[in-house]
Amino acid sequence: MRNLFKFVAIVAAVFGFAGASTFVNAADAQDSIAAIKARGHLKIAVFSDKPPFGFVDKDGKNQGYDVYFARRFAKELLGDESKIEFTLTEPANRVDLLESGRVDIVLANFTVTPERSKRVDFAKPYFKTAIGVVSNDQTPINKVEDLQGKKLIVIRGTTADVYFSKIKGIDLVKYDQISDAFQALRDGRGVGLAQDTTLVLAWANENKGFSVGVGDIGDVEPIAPAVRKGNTELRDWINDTLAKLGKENFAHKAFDATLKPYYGNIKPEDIIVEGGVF
Amino acid sequence: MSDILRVTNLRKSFGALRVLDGIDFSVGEGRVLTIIGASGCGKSTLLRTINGLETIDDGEIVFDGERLGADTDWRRVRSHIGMVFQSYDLFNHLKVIDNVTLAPIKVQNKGKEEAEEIAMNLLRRVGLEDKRGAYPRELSGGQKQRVAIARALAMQPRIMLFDEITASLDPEMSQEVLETLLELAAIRMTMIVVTHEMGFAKAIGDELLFMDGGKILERGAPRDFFAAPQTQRARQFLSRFEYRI
Amino acid sequence: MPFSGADILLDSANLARLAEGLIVTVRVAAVSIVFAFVLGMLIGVIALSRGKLVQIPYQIFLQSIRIVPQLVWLFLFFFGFAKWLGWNWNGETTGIVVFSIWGTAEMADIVRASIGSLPVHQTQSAAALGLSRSQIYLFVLIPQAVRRLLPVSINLATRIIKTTPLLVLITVVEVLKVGQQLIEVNILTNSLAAFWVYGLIFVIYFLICFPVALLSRKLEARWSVQ
Repeated sequence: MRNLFKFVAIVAAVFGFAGASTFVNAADAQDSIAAIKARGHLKIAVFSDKPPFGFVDKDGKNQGYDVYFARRFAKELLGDESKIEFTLTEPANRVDLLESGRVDIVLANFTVTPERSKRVDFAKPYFKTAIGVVSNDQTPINKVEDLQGKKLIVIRGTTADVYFSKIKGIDLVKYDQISDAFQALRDGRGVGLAQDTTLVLAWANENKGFSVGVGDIGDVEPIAPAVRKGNTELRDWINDTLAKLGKENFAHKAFDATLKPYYGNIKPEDIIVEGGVF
Repeated sequence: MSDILRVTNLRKSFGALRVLDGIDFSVGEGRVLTIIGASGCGKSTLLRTINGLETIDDGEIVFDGERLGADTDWRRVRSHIGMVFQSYDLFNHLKVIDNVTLAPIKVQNKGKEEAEEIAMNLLRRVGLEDKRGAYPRELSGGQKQRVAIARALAMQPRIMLFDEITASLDPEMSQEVLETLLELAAIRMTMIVVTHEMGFAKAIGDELLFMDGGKILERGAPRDFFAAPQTQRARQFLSRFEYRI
Repeated sequence: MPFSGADILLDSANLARLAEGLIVTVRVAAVSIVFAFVLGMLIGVIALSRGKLVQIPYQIFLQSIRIVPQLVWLFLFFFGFAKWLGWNWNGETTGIVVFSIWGTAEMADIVRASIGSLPVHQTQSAAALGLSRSQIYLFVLIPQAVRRLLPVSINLATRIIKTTPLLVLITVVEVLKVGQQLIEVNILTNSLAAFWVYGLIFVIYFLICFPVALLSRKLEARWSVQ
């Protein structure tokens, strides 16, 4: 009897979700440019604990590379960079925030993937990431071939793990925790550690004697602002704005203001995308 | 002699099982009726139909001139019929005194002081006035049943129903409870006593019913019944007790 | 330097933000617990009825709340309702609604089980005294059931408190999220930030939950004497 109830409940829940999604989408048209202007502020989702992209500073203010762009968008659209309502987001709810119409734009280190593109519309990128290898300066790794016959540290299940598992002749040492993996590199249990370029760059900047010799391994993935699926008006506006900002080297300014303290003297073009041109 | 309770042709089945099969009897004011019989003979069910804890299929129950049935205001009727059960059923979260005063206060809307005065008199009568502040778990089985009797009496009922109230007690404790019942009989409380204590049944009742298979097989003065049971079933029933003793 | 990094907790701005987060946590948990206990008591008593008209809706309610994770309910109420119905409740309101419904279901079942496990003679002897149905519940069954359900319901209350960090997924900044924000901002300059901040949050959770547990132990001890 109890199982029957469970079954009924599951069926009801599933059909409830499916059925409800065929109703009129109440989120429609709340995020047209006219609606945003009438409302008087942009609603943008950013991270609150992912420096240097989106975080809350000592005074409780939103800061970071993503936030830098967000403020400029507000200025371009509404004439005032403070006309923004920031919504805290997590990796797990970025898509839902757009689909439910709770925000107009997600600017939260959002990597463009085919899967996500089915549910949201991505504008042109303003940032990019790939796989990078950080290594001890005594045994520098400057290209993938340098790793032949050596031990490479990766974090289980990451893009880097998948990528290097396909390459023969590299001995992978796998960890579950990022902190354990970095400790292993310090202890010399591998010649290098492979992970998102941005992460290894930031770590190398903080740890003397280590550098990132190669930062563009694998598919370079674009990171872009996203809007609700079908909101081409806002997406096109963002693309136009990015192109316009490219003429004043805005991404470089954003890099200097927000990323440089974290990455040190790296080539900005390794990670930023200027003018939406990937 | 006026009858407080008259039961006519009472029938009751649980599914296919007929537990009461044409029961007739009456109880006069101030009289004590004892009911005996093997377990499952229907005697407990019979008691429970009288205050509406069980419904009846057919027949008639007249209490104090009022025919009881589906549209009876049972709350009012129950406040005139006291009942004590076999299992210990004191309210475990209440002290002895509060067990006794709960119904007078909540049902009869008596003031706390008045209810407590009545309660103390009753506790004194059952010999437990010093336990007024105790919780049920601090009492022995016999003490619990005596409090349960006091609790039922506190409603000043017209009749008391006792459903094998000593069945869970060892002999010594049974004795103190049965003595309480004898005292009640002495002050002319109208009672129906279902019991398996044969010696007690012999001593207390004005009239005795022997039930078997949902029917009353024998009735009469207790002394006569025990001296010369008329039916084979009754003789069998009594012999079992002799064997056990 | 055993206390290096502790200064993160001495900064009044940081503490003020943690306090703000804590107020959110306590507000959501406390309001939900109050709703859950009151409504759960009511529905639990109703659920004692064996009629199909009660049992079928009750079981569907209870089982659907139980088998669907709280996170899914939060998403459904926060994003789903906004999308399909245009109900733009803020995150905190949504959290209170979902946790209240969840707590009500759990509490109702606790109440139903506690009262249901009382001997049937308690009801019968009370009825035989002429007490009405509601008086039997009010003066006989519920007071006894409360003593049985106390430990489990305290456990439920602490579970609700400990589930509040899920609220970050519906954009609510509660104490744990504030902690993470502080840690991440300070991570490059203070390698022990996580230790100190999580340490403080541990103490805070302990300070919320411990008095609740203590109270329940005291009451249990008092009632067990009876």
